[in-house]
Amino acid sequence: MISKLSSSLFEKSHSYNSFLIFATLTSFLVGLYYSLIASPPDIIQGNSMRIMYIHVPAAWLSLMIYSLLAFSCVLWFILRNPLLSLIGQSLAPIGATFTLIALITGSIWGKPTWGTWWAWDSRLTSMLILFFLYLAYILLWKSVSNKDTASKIAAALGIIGFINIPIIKFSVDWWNTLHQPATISKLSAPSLDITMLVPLMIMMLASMFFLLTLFLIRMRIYIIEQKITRLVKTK
Amino acid sequence: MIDLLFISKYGIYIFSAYFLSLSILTILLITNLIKLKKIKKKYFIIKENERFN
Repeated sequence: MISKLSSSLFEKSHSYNSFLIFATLTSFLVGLYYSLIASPPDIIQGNSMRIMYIHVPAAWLSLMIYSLLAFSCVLWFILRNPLLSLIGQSLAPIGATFTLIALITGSIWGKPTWGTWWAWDSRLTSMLILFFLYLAYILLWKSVSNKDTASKIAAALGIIGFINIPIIKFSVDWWNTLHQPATISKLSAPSLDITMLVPLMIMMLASMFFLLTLFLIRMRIYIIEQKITRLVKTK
Repeated sequence: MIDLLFISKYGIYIFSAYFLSLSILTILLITNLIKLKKIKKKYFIIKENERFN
């Protein structure tokens, strides 16, 4: 099953790559036009609110990627399929990058809005913990030489770390924080005007295209690495 | 309008947020594309050698 899946991914993903890179670039360009030029400034925050169009998609994706990683870890414990470990290994650096971007842009947005670059606030601290979880997952794969042991420890870490995801999501409701509560992903209608919602959704789409592009590239790298190892072993 | 935005009160914050984010994403994409190209080359060399032998 793994060899079938990996070889189909190896052959087919090549044709998707160019399309995905094109889609990523186009959607980012359209998103940047809407975020920086077409959308109006906020009535209270002014132009500094434009940082939201890059900060929010990065924060959403960092949570989504970790959820996918944790799900692949659960499936690994059930199925013990090595392809699931490769999915986790491919996703972790992308998730860490989006978390870093969310932290950096959040910090830059915090300075004009809150008057400080950083506060040990529940949302900010839990996002920092998420970043360290990603780093721990990546370093674990790099430091443990036995792949079976690494798979087990990494899967356990992925599942345990998932506890942090609802903490991040609901931290703004559970504790008094500097961070504003949910405006888009709440159960009632989003309290964001359509002129701001459109650029946000375009930037979200662009980030999703980027995630898919990079994920397929990284999966191909790991699959080819495995093929090389197999070829060298058979010699 | 974009000129006005970047010389506005918060222009430096907006510019640095977008510049840093897009730079990080571009670097990540390019390094992975280079890595893929290198490993594909290595794979085909090994495969060619095996066939030749």
